[in-house]
Amino acid sequence: MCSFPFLEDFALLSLGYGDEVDRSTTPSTSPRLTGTLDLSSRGRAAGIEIGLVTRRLLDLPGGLNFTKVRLSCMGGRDFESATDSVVGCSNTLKSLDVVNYLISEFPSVHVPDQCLTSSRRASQDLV
Amino acid sequence: MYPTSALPLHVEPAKTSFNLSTATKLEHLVFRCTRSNVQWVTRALQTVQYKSLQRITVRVDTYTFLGGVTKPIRHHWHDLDRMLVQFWTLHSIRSEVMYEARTGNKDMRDYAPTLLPEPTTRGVVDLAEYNRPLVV
Repeated sequence: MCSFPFLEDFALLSLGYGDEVDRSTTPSTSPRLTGTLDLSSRGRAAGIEIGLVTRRLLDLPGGLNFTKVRLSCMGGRDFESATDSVVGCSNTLKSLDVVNYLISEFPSVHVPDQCLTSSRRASQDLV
Repeated sequence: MYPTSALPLHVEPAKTSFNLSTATKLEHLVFRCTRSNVQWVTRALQTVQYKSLQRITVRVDTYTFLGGVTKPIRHHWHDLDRMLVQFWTLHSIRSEVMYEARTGNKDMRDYAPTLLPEPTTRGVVDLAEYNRPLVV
């Protein structure tokens, strides 16, 4: 992706499981990313995958400059990622389009996972 | 010790919706509801920076009300109803509710007068039909 400095739009549709992305190397350059960000994930690990992609995008040195964001959410974790992507594009974002496939309003199934993820993220931040 | 009613919440509202407070240049918001519960929409709208916002769109697909409209669902829609009226009266931000073209099920056209009574009678909300795009 970083080999395309003029890249404006980025879309990702994932249907499977996501592995932890190697974050040890941060690219020195990043594309423009001034167009549309379109993230959609339907697999069981949907929230995890969108979260990983969002965090990886936020690591780019040029930051996110999307003017339009389209997200397909499946509840709690995806809402976190949606918030992250909105924060990342807060200076440029003009249009946000969200579809929510969440079946239950209350993400009780995800709560322990969220706590673990948050704790792990916090401990990583401390290192 | 906290009394039970005052226990600090560990699940923030943001987990059941998302926070738009940092997006100060946001002009158009689209919420696509595949289920009848719209609490996540109302919660997201509570965080909106309205300075640049021009339009709010709520899209409802044909299966959204397949399970009917229960009392809690109606209550959540009335919360959204009040919020959409506020956006119009306080900030002149117009809303539209788009519903999928009729396929035989009871749809938003049938439910709108009871779910969004205020904005539909006052003309604050535009009701419009859309066709599901063909998937090739």
